[in-house]
Amino acid sequence: MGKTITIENLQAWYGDQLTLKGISMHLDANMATAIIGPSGCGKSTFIRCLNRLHETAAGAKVKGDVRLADQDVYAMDPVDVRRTIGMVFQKPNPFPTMSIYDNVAVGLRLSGIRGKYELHSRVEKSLQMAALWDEVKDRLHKPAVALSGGQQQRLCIARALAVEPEVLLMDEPASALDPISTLRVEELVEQLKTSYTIVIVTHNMQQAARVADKTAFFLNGELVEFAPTTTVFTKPTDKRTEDYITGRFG
Amino acid sequence: MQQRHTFDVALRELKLKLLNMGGDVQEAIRKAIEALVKFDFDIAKQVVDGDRKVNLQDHEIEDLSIRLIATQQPVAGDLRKIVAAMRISTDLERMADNAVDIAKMVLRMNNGQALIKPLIDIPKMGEMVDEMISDALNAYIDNDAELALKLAKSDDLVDRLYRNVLTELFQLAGERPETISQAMSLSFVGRHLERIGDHATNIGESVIYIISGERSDLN
Repeated sequence: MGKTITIENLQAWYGDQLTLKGISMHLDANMATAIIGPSGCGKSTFIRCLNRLHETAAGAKVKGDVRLADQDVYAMDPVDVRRTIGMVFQKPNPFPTMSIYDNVAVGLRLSGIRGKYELHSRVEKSLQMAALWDEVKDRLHKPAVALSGGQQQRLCIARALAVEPEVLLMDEPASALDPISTLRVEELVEQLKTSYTIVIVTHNMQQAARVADKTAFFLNGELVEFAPTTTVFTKPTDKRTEDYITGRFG
Repeated sequence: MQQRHTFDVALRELKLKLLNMGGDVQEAIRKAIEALVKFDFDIAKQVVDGDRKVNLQDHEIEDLSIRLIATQQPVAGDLRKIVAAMRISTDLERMADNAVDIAKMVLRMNNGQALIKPLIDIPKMGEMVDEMISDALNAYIDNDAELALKLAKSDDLVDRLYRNVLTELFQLAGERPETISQAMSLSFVGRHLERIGDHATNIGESVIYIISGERSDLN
């Protein structure tokens, strides 16, 4: 099951530049939350703070609280954080020299799972959850790079799911995909949120409207509005949200 | 910075089409009442024939709205404007149907019998609903929630007058059985005008929906 994430006064810097200016939000468990906003508004930085990826950038700094249920994310081992809070990136990034199978199994092997039977069953389960199993079950040991872009992205999702995270962060997961692959990823989000808490950053407003239960609008490093998706897309309360989602700026 | 010029032009076009349709519907209602008061069957025929144009306007507004939804993926205020435009168009089309029904009633009354009584309250109802339509369209043009809310009061007055009309006609029909047929026709005219008032309040509700996203009940 997914866990809640509570963010309190989160600030993030790149060098001297304050990119997130004190974000506070509560993300419900087993729900998809979309983060929208114009380029440079801090939405990617925000989700990179949730799994402590932001601090790996040169000159980057974070202040504030991020709690996964009752655990302080910034008091945890960063490796554990990234296992518990998985991430899928904009461009599919399977390990190019590995097979489909090994791409999913690698995280499991690194976490100490060696048994062939357990490995295989976890790989199959992850590929099934990522809605990829039927397409690859007969060629598991072929190179992952031979898959289409959409399949590669679902493979990356399977790779993230294999280590049994509680939260899945998705940074524009469908922006490099064709419309059919995009719809498959969106369908997948719909299914996955029964088991995981999902945070999805997207430039595609219709995608946010389709997949997210709640939507947050970021602007210049601030959270402008955070409400049920239907409310945001039918009657947003802040004029800046209205102007952005109706395409009047951004 | 203006980034959705084409879309904004299309939204303005939608508004203009609705206002033109509203003007034509008002004209149809005025003519229907004129036909009744003057017992002028040519004017009544004009109202019946004019309905085709209003139906066409309704279809055009619906087509444009569907096209905008399909191609522009409207959200928030834009989406509410388009959804409300479709509803307003439907209300206007129904008002035109009511005008046609009044005109047809006049044509059916063309049986040599003179008017059973001087018409005072029915033309008055006609004026009141005409003003309600003007208020509804003005509220739509100006995004004026206050004016839209005022329609609820106007509708109450129309309803009250309609009840008076009915009481008077029933009384007349009871006293003079030869007037029953025309009294029924005139009460139907009153009913159509009362319905037109209801549609005007529906437009007021659509205006409030555009402005606030909230549903209201002005009837």
